[in-house]
Amino acid sequence: MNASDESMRKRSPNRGRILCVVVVGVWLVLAGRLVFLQSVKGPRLKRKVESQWASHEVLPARPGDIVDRTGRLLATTISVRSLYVVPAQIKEHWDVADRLAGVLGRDPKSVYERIAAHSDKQFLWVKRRLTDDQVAQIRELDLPHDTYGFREEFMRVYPQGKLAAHVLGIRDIDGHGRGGLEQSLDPLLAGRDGRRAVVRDARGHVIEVSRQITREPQHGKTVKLTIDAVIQLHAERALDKVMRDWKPTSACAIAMDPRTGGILAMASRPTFDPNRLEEVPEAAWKNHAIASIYEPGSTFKPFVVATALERGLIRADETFHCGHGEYRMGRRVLHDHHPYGELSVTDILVKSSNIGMAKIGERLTNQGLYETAVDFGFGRRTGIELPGELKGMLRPLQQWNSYSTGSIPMGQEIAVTPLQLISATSALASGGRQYAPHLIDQTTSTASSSPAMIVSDTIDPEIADWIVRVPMTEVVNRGTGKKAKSPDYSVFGKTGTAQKPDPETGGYSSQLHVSSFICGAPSENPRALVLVVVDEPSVGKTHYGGTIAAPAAAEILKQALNQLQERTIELATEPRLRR
Amino acid sequence: MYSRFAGAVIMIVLIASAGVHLEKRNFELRRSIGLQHYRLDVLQRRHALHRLKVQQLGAPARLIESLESGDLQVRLDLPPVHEVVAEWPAVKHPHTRN
Repeated sequence: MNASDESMRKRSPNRGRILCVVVVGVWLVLAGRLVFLQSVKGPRLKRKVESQWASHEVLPARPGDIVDRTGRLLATTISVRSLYVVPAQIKEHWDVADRLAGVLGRDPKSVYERIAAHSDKQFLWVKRRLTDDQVAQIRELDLPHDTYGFREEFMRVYPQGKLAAHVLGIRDIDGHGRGGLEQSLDPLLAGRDGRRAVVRDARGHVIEVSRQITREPQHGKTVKLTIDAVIQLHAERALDKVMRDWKPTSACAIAMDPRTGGILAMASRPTFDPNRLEEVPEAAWKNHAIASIYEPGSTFKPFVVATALERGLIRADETFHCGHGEYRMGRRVLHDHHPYGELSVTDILVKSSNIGMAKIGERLTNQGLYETAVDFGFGRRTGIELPGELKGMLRPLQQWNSYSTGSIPMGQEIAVTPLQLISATSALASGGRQYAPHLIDQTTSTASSSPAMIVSDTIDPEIADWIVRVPMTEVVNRGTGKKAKSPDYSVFGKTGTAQKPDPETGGYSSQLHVSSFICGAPSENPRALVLVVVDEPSVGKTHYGGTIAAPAAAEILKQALNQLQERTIELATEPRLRR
Repeated sequence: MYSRFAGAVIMIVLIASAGVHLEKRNFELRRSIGLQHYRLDVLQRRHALHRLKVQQLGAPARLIESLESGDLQVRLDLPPVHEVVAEWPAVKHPHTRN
């Protein structure tokens, strides 16, 4: 044994100890690291891992339907496929663009430029809302699977076309409600998207769809309206005829059930087809029934007479001398269309005498006239479930003067929306009780957020009945509204022919008019009210409401009464057997 | 000694086989449920399309001219139609018996 072996033997116990210490030390470090990773950083790492292989898929909520009072679909939703490409995966940009453009009927160059401009993107819409044929043809192109795909999307469809377009509004390509009920009821109709977890592999492909939905989609609710599609159709047709015959700048019609305030029809011209949004002219978006104001003219007179009667300032059997067509009020001289002498209260309304009304206005005074307008709901929104409703124009009483005493009773110096006017008239037609106009059927709608029906007792029931059954019925029987007369039932109504301000002189124009007519039937127990307003008719020289608006209103009223009567009967149609 | 060992191995194999069978069955059922959901989606899509088509064909705007010209007649003597409520098929595996 040499000296070196001896020294080795002496060192070996130290080496073993050192080795043990090193091994144990390494194990302790590893164990400590393991504990650190597991308990301290564990939750964070777990989330990181999950985010790498799991992602969330949106389960879109289906927007709810809108149906009319009989259940006809006015707006519904179908699912369609939209095409996207993955530009980053496309090797031959021109080849793909050319083949896709052929199927989609688009210019290959524009498709190519679009793909080439986003060549590093993982997602690019090519065309949304494809037809089933287009989907089949694209599949037949046999493009590489990782370069394109389809996504299911919901598309809003309006089966009745232009019918009630302004009431319904539209839902844009991203599913947001724009205008009409689509906008105001958007939270209710749109629902709430759901979510579901999916597991992806390293390349991002879905390998498993979790059965557990993290959030169930809440589909939109179905909303039932008070609108009747048949009455609406007749209103639309009547307005089309008015537009053809009188060529006005705009027109609108409203039909209403005065006993509930439910709107049976609301139409406006010009209009649009919500299924063809690319063809909508700018002027067609406006719903003139709620978003246009005009001086009501003679249609305002019954409210003044009703208030004067209720306050005992005039008697129903009283007569007024109408000065044979001229009456001086301070510095102002009022005129009637025809010279009248002594007129009863009924005849003042039947002949629409401005002088007679001015004399009643003098009894009421400005204070009484202002209160009349406020009581009947002018100067404030009706609260209908539509966006963009105007509140009209009712100046503060302090700004009224002696002119106002003569102007307000004949429907000047005040501006109203057609909806305000029909709502105010409904107070007379329903025995003094005024119901807030509404579009959502509050009795059967699944819409839980439908507003409560607001009722106000506006005028004494007996006076309201008298105004409807006597002067307003006589207006149709022998006055300015003869064209609305019907042999089947008694009609009441009031014509209005308001002069519009002349933009050049600032005074009232002798050429520009707003012709209107409001009517209802039957006079004994009104079931329907109809208002037609025609703005700036341009054909002919005389633009009386009784000539222009009354025939259209009478036609809508007739069809509305027929429809309301027939609703209780089961109807069916069958093709007539041809001989 | 050997028989105990063999028994244990056989037991382990049997348990594993049962587990594999159950797993396989589980996957089959999941696939079946997935297919039913897919079919339900397709049926609901078709239902929405058919409903839309019916409403378009029966739209008052489309029928009114035919009614006014007399090509279509209104009949009032038909008995009321009772709505037939169809139930969605329950999720059912082809091998399960009622």
